[in-house]
Amino acid sequence: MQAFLKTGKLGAGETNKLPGSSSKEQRQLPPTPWVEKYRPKTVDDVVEQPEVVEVLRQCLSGIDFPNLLFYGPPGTGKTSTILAAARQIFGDMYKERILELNASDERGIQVIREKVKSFAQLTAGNTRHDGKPCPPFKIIILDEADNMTNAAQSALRRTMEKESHSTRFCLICNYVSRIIEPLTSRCSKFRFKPLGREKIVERLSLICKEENLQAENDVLVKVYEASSGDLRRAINCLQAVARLKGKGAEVTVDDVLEATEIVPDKWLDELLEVCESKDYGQAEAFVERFMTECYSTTQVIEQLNQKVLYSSTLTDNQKALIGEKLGECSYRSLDGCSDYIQLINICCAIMQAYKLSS
Amino acid sequence: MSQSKKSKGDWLLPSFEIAPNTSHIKKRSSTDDSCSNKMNVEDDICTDPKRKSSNNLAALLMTCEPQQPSELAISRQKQKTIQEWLDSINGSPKALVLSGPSGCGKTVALKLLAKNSGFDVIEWITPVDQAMDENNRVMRQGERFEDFMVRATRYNSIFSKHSRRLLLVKDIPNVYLVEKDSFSDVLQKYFEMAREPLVFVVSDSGSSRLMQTLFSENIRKAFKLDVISIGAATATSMKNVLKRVSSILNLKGGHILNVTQENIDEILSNGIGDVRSAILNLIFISLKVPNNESHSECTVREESLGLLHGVGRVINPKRIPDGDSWKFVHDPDEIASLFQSQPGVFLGFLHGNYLNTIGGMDEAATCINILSLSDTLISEWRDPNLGRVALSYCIRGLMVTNEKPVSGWNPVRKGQHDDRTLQRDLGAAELRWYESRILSKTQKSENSVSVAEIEGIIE
Amino acid sequence: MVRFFFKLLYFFVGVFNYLLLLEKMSLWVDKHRPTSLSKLDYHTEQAKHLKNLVQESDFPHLLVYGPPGAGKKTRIMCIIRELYGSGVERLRMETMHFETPSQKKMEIMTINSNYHIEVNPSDVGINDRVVVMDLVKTVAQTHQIDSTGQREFKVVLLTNVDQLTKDAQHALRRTMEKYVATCRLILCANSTSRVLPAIRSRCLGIRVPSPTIPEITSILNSICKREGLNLPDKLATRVAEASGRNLRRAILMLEACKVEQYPFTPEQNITEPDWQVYLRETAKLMVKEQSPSKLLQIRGRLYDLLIHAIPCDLIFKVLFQECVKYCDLQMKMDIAAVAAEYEHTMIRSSKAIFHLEAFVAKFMAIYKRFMDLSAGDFM
Repeated sequence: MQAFLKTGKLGAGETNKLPGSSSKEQRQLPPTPWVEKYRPKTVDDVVEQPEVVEVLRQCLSGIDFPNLLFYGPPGTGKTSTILAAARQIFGDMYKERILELNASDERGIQVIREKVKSFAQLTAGNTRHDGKPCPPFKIIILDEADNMTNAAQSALRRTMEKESHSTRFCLICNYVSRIIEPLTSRCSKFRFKPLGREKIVERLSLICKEENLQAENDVLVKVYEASSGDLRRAINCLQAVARLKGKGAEVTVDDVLEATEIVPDKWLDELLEVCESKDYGQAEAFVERFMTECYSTTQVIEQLNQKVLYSSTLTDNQKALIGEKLGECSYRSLDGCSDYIQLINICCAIMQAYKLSS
Repeated sequence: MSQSKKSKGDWLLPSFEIAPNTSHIKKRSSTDDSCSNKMNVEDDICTDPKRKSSNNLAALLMTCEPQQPSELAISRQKQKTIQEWLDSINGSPKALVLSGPSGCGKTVALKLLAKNSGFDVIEWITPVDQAMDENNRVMRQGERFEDFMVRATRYNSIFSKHSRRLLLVKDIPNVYLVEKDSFSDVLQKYFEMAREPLVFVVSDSGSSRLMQTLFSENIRKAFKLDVISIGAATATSMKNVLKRVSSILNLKGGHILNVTQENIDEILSNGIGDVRSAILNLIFISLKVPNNESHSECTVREESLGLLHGVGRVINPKRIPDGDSWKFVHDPDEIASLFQSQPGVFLGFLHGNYLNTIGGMDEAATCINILSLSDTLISEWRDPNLGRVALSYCIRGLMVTNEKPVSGWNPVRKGQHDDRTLQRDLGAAELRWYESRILSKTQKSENSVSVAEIEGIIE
Repeated sequence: MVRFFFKLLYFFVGVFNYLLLLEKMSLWVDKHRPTSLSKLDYHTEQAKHLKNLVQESDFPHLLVYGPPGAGKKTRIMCIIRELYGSGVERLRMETMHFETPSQKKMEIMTINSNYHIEVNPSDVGINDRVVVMDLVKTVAQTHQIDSTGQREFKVVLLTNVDQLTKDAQHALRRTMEKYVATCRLILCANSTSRVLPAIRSRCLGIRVPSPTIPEITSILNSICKREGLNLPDKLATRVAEASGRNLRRAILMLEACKVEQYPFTPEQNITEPDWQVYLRETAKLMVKEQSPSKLLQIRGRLYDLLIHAIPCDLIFKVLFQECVKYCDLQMKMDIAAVAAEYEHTMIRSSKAIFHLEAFVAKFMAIYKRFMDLSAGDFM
């Protein structure tokens, strides 16, 4: 990937010399998302996951490694880690030695049986093309494994054991509970923690420098807050802002809010205020106004939940009451109900909760 | 009940496939052979072989045919409209589209009225065999149809006692469903060459969209087709028809049939608007079961509960005291089990009728709440069992809720159809509405203005 | 000779007038729709951003969302025009045919130019998955014929994405990635809450809030200026307020007003859609008397609305808004909870009438209880 990018840059410099063919090639290059561009290149680049890094580092020095199961919230570097490791282990042969399947691919039981099996049955040598030694196995990466059907997972179980001499599996998932027990017991599990604020901000400011983007530290902090520890989301958000603002522009907090669909706090405060007044007419007017801004209802509910949860003025009883309603409405609006009625319903519930205290 | 009495051979025919085909109606002039070799199947429902000849059910059915306009199931008004149309025929080609739900008596009415006005009815029946033309080429159905339309009336039937003829097309060849253009070509040809009036009988049930595809607005306008649409037979007219038919049946077929008032009531509660199926069912239900057999095995005939009776039992729950508490006369689960194959339909009926017997507002709210939940459950297609659960829940719920059903005579109605997909595009609806409003007004004013302007300039 | 010349002149005048007539036939909404990003009337900052976006080499998938009548479609068309030039204005209507795995044939209307294709996949109901996948595939596989100076991708514009089934949205996610080289999707939705997070994260979200009342009035004024009409400020404000910050509705209303009565008067009657009035009366009926027979009557009215293809969630919303006006606070809260519940069941099931009626019945029951109670107190 790295080499590929480099030639791309070189090509850009050389277009003038070779107008016909190379410019066309140039255009065929799909634009790289920043997430791909700034993936860690080596295992040591991986941010803040010490145990995994330790194991993989040992593996790099030639010791065999077990089947792996990475789990953790999205955007914590699960896929990046295994890809970086594979690149380090196999070097140029990286493409041949890896099979990556994610949830978007067809992944029924049939695919597991055929594709995975046929790939697993290929033998692998223990030297690289350039003569350096490398472990004699291939890696199959099953991304988003928790979306696989149970039948497919069971089919995998047998394959995993049978092909253990030539293949290592790496399952990646968000929820380890959705992987069937027989599979988890065949893998060594690693939990990926959400990234801390410093690490993310550090990474983001690095990218800003590379991409010639001006952003204050507090803007990056806002990006971090919006992404809740998900580095991928944070980088995507940054790129979206950059795209809209054009090159070399100054990024502001408002831009970030806009790009992340986060509802500004003033709306939430107003919502609570309106509800506290216990005036239905006001609440109705507020909801009407709010609807014209077109924020996502699920997002509002999520943020409202945070706000209510950490509120110091509400009693536990009130919180419980509001929380219950929020859950209900969140479910309904995911099902596709009209935002208006659900929001009114939430407002009513909050009013009721306030009534409790008075 | 001789053959000659059957005046029009194929009333109720399609269901029985018994075709006494030698009546004076000329089926198709060119390929008459295709029709006449239809099997003359005797009915095998009748169990007694000795009486075969006289027990012919088909013949029995013939006798039920209305002989007077007053015996028709369709309303007076419609009869008058048809009659007027028939009277207006003056030798030039003229076409009518007669539409209505199946079995409401379109064809019968037309034939009877045509006969009374002195017409011979020549009917097109789509042939099943392949006919060869003079060059030994297989003729396409469309060609033969065209042939019929243009030429059928050229030759007089030797049986005919009337001088005027009327073409009747009930069964439009399938080719035209695909090639709409060729259908209008045929119509074109007809209007150019033929001389006799033409009637299409189209049953517009929910699934078939003949009315929209073949007889679209444009075609109707282009060829000046007259359209008479007939509604489903009303309950009263059905009752009258059945009453008349039952006496005929008992008279003529008394040896195999036993038509009772009970049977008639049952039929009436089941069939809505479909006279043909009602009579057919009536005959089947009233068939006498030979005594010796019925006693041996089928003493308990499976109770067949009509949809409407089922609805009636649910919305009019009768309770009987049972010790300290009470129980229902009709067990909810039994009712549910009878309608398991069509929970959606039954629910629709319940919804259409539950309000008739509900006393208070609170009960009504509870009932509709139950119905709403049941409907949601039924819509969950991933679990087929839910349909049964929902049905049982709904029936029981309605019965328990309705403690004091309001009595009073309320006809059980069919729930209204509401199969439209959910419409959710507000913008489009709005645009449509305003556009129609604005355009209807502007068009008028703009037209007048521009014409005036041009005239002004010319002056 | 002269006479002949005059005749010719008349003829041309006639033709010209006729063309004028054709021009006048199009609604103001279409006629005065801005066609380039720089001509947009509001959210100008955003328009500038969009311009930046178009000029950059990589153009992402877009998800444009906003309330109805906020100008989403206008913006999308501006973006497409900015991408490809005026060629996109030559539009054709075509029907495309699709076949489901179960051999069911479907057809769907598309509006397309040489560079883009617009489809409303929710037209085909639950079979939208096939449509979405096939459509993007066919578009992606036909390359741009003439790529000099143009983009190497085509644009697929999907409207009403929030009404797509979950199934179709999942399919979309995969298709989006697979054909990124030759086609870009622009999705248009009323609200993002029904769009899968996976799709949201793959698109650049563009939020289009409704225009404010002053913005709407100024647009109405400028339209009237272009039409050569005189619009009183008071009426402009009233129309803007009555539209509920829906620009499309505001313009339609204004045009309807013009048709009704011109010259304008400040106090002139603003035509509301008839269903609005009808629903208001229905609500009045509900308050007037609560009995099963009344419920039966209201059911008839609801059927009427449904048969005229009024969206059922609109019926629900308006009915709710109207009903609530007659209640006290506690009742309002109860009604809101009831409405939310039945609306949900309505979405989940196929027969809207059941749930609309359930809401009506529940409201009537609650209202009746309340009236009985207060009557009892009064005694």
